[in-house]
Amino acid sequence: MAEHENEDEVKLRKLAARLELGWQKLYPVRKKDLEVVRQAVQEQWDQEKELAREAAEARLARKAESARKEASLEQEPEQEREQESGEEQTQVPPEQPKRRSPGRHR
Amino acid sequence: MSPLDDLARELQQADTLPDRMRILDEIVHHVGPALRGYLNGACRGQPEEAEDLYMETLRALVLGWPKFRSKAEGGFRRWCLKIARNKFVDWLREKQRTPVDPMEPDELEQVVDASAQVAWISPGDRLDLEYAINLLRAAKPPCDKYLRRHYLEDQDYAAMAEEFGVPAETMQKRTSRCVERARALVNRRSKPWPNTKTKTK
Repeated sequence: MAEHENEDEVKLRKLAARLELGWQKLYPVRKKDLEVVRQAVQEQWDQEKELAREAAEARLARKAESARKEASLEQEPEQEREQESGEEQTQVPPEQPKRRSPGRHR
Repeated sequence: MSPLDDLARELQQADTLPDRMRILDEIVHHVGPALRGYLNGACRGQPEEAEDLYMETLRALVLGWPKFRSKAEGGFRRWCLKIARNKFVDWLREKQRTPVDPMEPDELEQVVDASAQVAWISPGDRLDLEYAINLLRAAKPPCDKYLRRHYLEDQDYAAMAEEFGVPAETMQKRTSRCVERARALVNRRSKPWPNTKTKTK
């Protein structure tokens, strides 16, 4: 039984192979088929390049942003130090406690 | 691996536009006629519709190849035929038409006759081909679908299992049983099928 099935399968596959040949004869590839394909390939390519360009721009923007943040963090301690030294120079000396006159205490 | 599978692998490594164009041109030369044949058979008597579906199939093939993953032998051809089939099914739904199966036996005979102009068919092969077409004639639904999908559309049992909603093993058993039943019907029949052309060249 299995042998018969294999023979049948072989014949069905032979038919499939013949159909391929027949279709090659009946439906040869035309210039317009290739034009459709090339147009689609070009569209796909342009889209990929556009996406790659946008991704590269986004990466540069993120890099620039993080560089700006780093630079501003470095400047903050310097500014604090400058502020502190400015405050020392203009600082008012603490008030001296007032002395009581000898005759006035109760 | 088949030439188409090799081209598919080459395409996935192609990183210039001219290379992609060249490889996809070759792919269309290999698989285009089969896709057109399938869709013309499917759309029966509506060549303009078949033509539109074919153009859509080509576009879908070009735009979809990055998603192709199978490494199985013949995988790329099956994938291309599946695209064509999906386009056909979408068209049926859109037009609210009754689903019909492409590649009726009479159409198959015409295609086989055309193939004789490409490569000679020996008398022995001619008998085998007629027998195979008769198996398809004899197969009753859903066996006719199973035999077409597996042997003519070259779909593997996993893909068929997905379509018919059964495990792949079940699909394999069903298909084998369908071949048995069709064989029994062909052998039982005493007279030739109607519209069969019996050629002896």
